[in-house]
Amino acid sequence: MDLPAQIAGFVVAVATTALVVMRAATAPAPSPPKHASAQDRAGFAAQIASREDDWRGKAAKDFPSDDWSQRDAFHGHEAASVRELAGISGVPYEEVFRAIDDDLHHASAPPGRGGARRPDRSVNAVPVKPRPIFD
Amino acid sequence: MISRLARHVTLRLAFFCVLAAVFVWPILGQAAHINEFRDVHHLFLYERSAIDTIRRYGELPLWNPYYCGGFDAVGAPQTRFVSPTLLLGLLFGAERAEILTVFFFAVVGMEGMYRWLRLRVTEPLAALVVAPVFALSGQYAVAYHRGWVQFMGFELVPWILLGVTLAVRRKPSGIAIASIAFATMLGFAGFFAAPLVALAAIFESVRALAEEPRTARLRSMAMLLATASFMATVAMLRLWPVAETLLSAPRIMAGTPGHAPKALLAALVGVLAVKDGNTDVNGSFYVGAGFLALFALGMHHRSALPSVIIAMICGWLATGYASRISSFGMLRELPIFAAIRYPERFLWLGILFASAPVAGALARVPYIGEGRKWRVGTVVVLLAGVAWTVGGEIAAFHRVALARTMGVVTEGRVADFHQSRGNRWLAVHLESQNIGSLSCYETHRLAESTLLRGDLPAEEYLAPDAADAGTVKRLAWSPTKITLSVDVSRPARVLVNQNWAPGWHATVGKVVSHEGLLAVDMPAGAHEVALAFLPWSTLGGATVTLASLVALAWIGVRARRRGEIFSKRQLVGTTLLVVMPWVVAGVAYAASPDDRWPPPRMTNPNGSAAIVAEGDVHVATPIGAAFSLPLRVEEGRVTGPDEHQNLLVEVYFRRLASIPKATTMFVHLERRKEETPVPKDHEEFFNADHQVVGGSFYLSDTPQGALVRDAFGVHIDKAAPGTWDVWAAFGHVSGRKGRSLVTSPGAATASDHRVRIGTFVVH
Repeated sequence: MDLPAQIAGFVVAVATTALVVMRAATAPAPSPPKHASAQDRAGFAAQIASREDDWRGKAAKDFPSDDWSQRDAFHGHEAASVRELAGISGVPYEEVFRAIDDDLHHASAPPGRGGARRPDRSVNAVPVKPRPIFD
Repeated sequence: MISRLARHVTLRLAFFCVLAAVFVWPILGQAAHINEFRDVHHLFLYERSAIDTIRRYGELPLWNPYYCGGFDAVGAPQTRFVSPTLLLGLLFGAERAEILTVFFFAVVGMEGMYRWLRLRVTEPLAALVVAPVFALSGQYAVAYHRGWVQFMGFELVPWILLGVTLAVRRKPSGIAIASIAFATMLGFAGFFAAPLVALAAIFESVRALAEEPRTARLRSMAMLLATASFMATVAMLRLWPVAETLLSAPRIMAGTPGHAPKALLAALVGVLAVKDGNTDVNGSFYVGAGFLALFALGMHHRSALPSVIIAMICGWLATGYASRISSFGMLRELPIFAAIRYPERFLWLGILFASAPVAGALARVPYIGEGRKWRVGTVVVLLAGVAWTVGGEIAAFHRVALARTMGVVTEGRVADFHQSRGNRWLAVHLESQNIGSLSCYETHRLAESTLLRGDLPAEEYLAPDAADAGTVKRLAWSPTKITLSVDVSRPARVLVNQNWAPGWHATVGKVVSHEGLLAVDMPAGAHEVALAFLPWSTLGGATVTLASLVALAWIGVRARRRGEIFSKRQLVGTTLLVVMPWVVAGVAYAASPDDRWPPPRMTNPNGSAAIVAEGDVHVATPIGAAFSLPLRVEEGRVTGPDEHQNLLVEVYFRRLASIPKATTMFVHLERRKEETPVPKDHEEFFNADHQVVGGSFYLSDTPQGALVRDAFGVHIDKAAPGTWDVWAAFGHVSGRKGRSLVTSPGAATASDHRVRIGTFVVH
């Protein structure tokens, strides 16, 4: 009696696993995204650039004398704007980020310390230094 | 009959697979999407980049260039690809693999719980039905909602405890089970759970030893030591690189988190729901009131006492600093427990240990009364209680998993990898473009160069002092290997826009750290140079892991042939096999050709050095105040407020002898009393207490005798106009609490065990 029961158990375990794997593997993929036009991209870059001073000011106020937290707050504002712009235009976040990245690379700074030509665009790295209390 | 069937592994697995399938079923439809919760953007990026590195470049994912300017991927405590689940990602892609990982871990967790419970519960049916309670409990739902998939590794804890008890019972299989489960858990990013596991293993060891006859305890102790040793050495592939990372950039946690018993009860029985995009403490460890009732029912039996005591200790630990006597606070004084952040996670262990009395209740209560009606009735009621519990857990998981904000990663990779300013809040959307994000977050500091830039015309270039020496051109790029054509008229340094780390090597020239940036010093001439990342920590760790597995297998063979492995006849051979991986580790460590990380930099949040040389203080006010704690405030300075209403406070102090970890600097900003009345909606007091200097080190870890500059900002929006004083004092945030006495104020004014370190005026 035990052997048929064990075989039945094996079949159920394998069938259930196969069902789960199949459903995960065949879950509907997202529809192909709409691409941003060159004009859209220029618009994204300009909008982000125009808001950056405001974000930096807010971040400086919220996190006095804390370089990493200020930069992180800056990027928090930027993320909200990226979501907003992508949502309005119906394009993926990637398109907005590419537009910002192209804009920052467009008039590339010279390498090394000479890159200080455009310090206001926050393109340098601020080493991560998590606050000891996150909450 | 059902009890008899429960003994069959295939039937049990069938039951667990069906339950796990019900657990994940509604979420499977979203498998192609990603969770957009903030933490996902680094955790999922780690997994995605590892899979991409293997799939696209055919390389082991040893280096991750897509985040923070690049880091040792095996050495990062939160990467989870060093585990068998990587295969799921390779087969189905990172997105679809996530929910499959949850499914498989749930099954593994239930089976582990069953086996562990059966060590002490004789009734298979009781163990079978109680096993899912821990494996599907509310914290897994919370973790999944937040994208903390690595928390599924906690499902391996019952296996580790099973291994520990089997080892104490002198079964060699226990050593293998505990070691492999622990290594898998660490490979799956279980580092922040490891201290909890260590504690659980200690509880389990003590209990299991107490169950053994006195005459056998010595051999059981030897088995335990062998288990602990193999747990460390089998996991060395991961332990060594992560230890290197955390020693160079430690995780510092401060604060005094705590929960009242009522809040913990709400965590166990409350309704788990999503509010404002996140879950709160209610229901976060959901097992339901039915489970607690069954636990109460199971407490009455003497055999349940050890489990009940351990569960109670876990409950006490979960209260954190809210208890009058904080066991959690005491635990945090120990090195590996210092970085534990959430005391409530001890509830997880509490649930695990409480499952034994619950299973005991199910096994015994039907036999308390007499007659078939009583037995059938109680079995039905008790099973209904467990079914209600498990049903509630599954419903909670569905509720919060389906409340996630879902997104889509769009592939659109640029031909040449480059760093961008990036955005850690949405970083996955950059990795999918083959672009790195310099904006980053981790739970520990990272060695990140300040020279990294997100706007360079080329990612590899000559250092500024050799910019006119020739040219650098990228020939090929992959995450762990960069090939360059370098043509220079004189020796020159080539900089790469990624972080340096031990393990980078070059085929020509010498790899160096250029202010934290990856760089190679090239000789004059035209060269093709390949930079490759192959860290010794991973190679050495893998060798130790392999040696340990061989030793374990050998021990297994010897045990099969000759019986108990710590018998007099086998003692020497077994000891040699236990020690052998450590010898391999020692040799590997000594033979390392890689440079070592420099010691962590002690800095303030504004980037200034936190340890300064004598005489480096030029404009601060001398103080020279001494306290009953061995601390001395030498000087102070208050700058501001600036246009943002921010104040910069600098306190220069020394630690003269050892102090407890809980020592805190109390900083009070007070408006002078004689000023005019405080206008409505304005403040006359601000607090800037802190236990950690600049997020870098505890006050207790400051180098003894060194002059520390503790610089921090305070936002004083709505400060009432007038003259303000800044006061500093020392004391304890837990334990003894209270302020240290000012034994000598020096040149400062003292008040209420505080010294004034400066003043400022608000107009």
